[in-house]
Amino acid sequence: MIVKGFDPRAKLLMIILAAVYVTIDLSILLEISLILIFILPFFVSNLPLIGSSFFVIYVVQLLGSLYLLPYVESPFFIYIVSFIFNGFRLLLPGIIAGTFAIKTTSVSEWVATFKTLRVPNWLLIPIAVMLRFFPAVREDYHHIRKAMAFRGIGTSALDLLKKPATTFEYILIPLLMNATQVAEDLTVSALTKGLSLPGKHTTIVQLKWTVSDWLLIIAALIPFILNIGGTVS
Amino acid sequence: MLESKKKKIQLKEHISIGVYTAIYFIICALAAGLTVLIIPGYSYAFIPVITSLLAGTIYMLMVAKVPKFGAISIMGSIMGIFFLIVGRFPGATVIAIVISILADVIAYLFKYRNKVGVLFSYIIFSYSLIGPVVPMIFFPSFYQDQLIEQGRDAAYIEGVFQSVSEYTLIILVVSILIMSVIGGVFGQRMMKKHFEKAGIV
Amino acid sequence: MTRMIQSNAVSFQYLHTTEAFLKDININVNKGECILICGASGSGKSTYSRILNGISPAYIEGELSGEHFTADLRAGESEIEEYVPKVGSVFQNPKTQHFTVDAMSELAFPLENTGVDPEIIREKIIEKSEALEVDHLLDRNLFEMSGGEKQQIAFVAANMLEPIILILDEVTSNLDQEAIERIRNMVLKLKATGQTIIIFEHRLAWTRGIVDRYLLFDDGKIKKEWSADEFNQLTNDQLHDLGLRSMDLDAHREQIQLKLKASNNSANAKLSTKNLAVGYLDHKVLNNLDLSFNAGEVTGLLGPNGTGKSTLANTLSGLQESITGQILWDNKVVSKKELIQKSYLVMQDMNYQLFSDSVENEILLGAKHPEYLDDLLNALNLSEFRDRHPMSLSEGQKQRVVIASALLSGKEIIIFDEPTSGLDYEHMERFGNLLSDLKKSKNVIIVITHDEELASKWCDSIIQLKK
Repeated sequence: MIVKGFDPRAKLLMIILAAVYVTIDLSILLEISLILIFILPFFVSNLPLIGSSFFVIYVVQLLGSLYLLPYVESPFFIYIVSFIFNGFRLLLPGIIAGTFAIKTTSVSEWVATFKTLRVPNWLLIPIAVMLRFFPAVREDYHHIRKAMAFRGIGTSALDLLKKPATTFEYILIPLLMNATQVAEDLTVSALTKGLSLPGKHTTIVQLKWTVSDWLLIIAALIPFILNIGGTVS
Repeated sequence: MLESKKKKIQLKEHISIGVYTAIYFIICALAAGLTVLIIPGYSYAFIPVITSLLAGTIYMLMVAKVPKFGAISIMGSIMGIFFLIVGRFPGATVIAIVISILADVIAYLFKYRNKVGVLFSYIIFSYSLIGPVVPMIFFPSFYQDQLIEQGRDAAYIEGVFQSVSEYTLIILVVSILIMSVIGGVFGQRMMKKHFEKAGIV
Repeated sequence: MTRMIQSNAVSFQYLHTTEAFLKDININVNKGECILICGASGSGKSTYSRILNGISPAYIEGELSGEHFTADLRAGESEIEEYVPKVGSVFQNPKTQHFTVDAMSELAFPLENTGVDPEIIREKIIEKSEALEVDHLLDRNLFEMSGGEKQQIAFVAANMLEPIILILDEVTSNLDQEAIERIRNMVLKLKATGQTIIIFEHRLAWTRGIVDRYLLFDDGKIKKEWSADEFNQLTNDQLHDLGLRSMDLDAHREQIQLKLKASNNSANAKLSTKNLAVGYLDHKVLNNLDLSFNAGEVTGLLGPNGTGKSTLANTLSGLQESITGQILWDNKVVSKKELIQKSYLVMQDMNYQLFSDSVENEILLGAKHPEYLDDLLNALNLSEFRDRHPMSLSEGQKQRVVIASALLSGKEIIIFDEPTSGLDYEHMERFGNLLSDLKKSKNVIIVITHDEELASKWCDSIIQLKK
């Protein structure tokens, strides 16, 4: 199985690059190009809606920063508004890259990526189990809510307001009881299938770094290079 | 039960850690969902506050099930890695890892059993999630520079940011303290009421 | 290999207990044999299965005495890792034995763990999935599969390393007849390759023609042993006397046919439907349902998985909105909200339905008639567990607690979803008796089940859904 689309390692690299960009002060023009480059993957991965939404968010932040912020007077609001329009704007590339990574990478691809990056077992296994457990929690939650509906507990918003701790308890305790049982079953099953075997564990999901990955990273570096070169300001 | 007598964490316990961390993560996501509804932009700083209120039971359960050094550290580190992946300030990851190791050490010193000790460990652990907020509080220069460029008075802006940052920091530290005590005690009560009584731990 | 499976005076005692759970077991199994171990719950079957695959005493700990060998590996001395290439295990719960999220990854998992080259893994997956006829499932997500499909994948996954011994630990508990047939075919194929297969089961019928020897466990000891021929001679009654389920289901199936509802509309019906369609907006699961359910009667709801039994149950109990048609109570149309108040759907997994820290508190939660608590506890044999935490009880006891809380809440419609899956004969009978007692309180009782023995004996009428 060769991973289609971008190599997950490239996606992770994009996130790291975004973190680097936070420390650099870019001109408006370079910043816009940076955002465009970062949302590009959404468009080539058939997710235009998400890509466009991020662009809209960016534009709102930019416009807000240029035209709204100068008029805010109260100190507390200056802080908040500047945080929303300036602070988050700096973080936006990272959020875009992170969202793309999460949206387009399957669980088995994540596990394969961590295995390839030689993440140690004591980290790899809990992460793999986490990813496998999330859909199960969703199912469990629905079952518990069904049972609660019949019992007439925690059914209305009023219940949540009047007795929040008890309602929380009703949902949480069965969830945790079940989780503990699942952990035991999973462990027995995994042990019989060799999870604890020493030596190299291979992975069937093969990561392949392709031309598109190179292009992506190079494109992502362009604003950085231009900024240093001082050509665009 | 599958508890091992050996001192180091065994494979089977890694699976338990994964399961409990998954639920901790979900509670964190739930807290994020709740805080964002309050004051967009600013309130996300208070995610650790709500998380610490709700996550006590899971922490206590995991400590009871895997009373060995490493479980707490791994849980905190995974949360830290998650911060990295969603593009938050990289220092947040380091902070998460360091604080959770600290929490683990504290629990270790109390042999993962003494109730006050484990509660103390939980309080410390609750601060491991403040990483993403750090830039907002300690490096406001990013936001300040742009405001100054726009023509605002530099001294005024610096003053504003300093006071709001301090103000926020104090509220944050105090509310995490309060909420984690409440959440931790609630968690310990749940342990006694349900898990110990049912023989799960 | 000198010893495929050999137990000499094997005893096993769990930690913190005063008595040995397994006592003096002596078994010898040769290569290529297929043996079945049966017996009531608590007779030691699961304990023995864990000694067979190395999980005990290393992980589920206890004290082992005597000598046990699986494929020349000595229990208590060999590490679990040594068992992995030699023993494959398939477990009871389809939801909790898969480590990954999709079929491909699950089949690759054992091979990845043993460091096999990815190319070879791919070849093996194709080879094995074709041989055992699961290739159509390969591109699917495990969370979207039915229980039967998950078990099929679990089966193939257990065989990816080509183990010489296969252990099946009550693998059919949650499955319908179709799924059991598919499992049966898989087992036949594996047996033909010379694999040694040990089956632990309550549902015996599907094992005819596959198993060479039958062993009965009772109270931790081997009570009796039969060859296949001898076992096949036993009548259903003789089996029941031994605490075992029926082997020959034909008589049961005839009974079921007799109980099928001929006419579907009865004027006395407490709960009825008129031209009901259930399902989802874009996808009708069942259509044109004119059903009737009488108070004080047990109606069985049978049919293969996927025919809409759960959807129907969800709609009748008010969890789901019907698409068209009406649901009537005492000949008056009722709303979804009213149905939820009147109904209780007892789900298969008790863990999702227990909320309190004591049996008493659990039953009193939401109770409409708390004054009847003591009577109810007595009637359901729960008095001695009054202060116990519900999660510390056995599955059967938990089930009775859930039923008690439904009754004390004044529920008039009680629907059971697979209440006897995985239960041995005695517990199935006990549940049947419980159903009879429930009839006295004039509730409408509906039972969704694959268990033909339960349906034939304890249901008053049966509705059968077809694809």
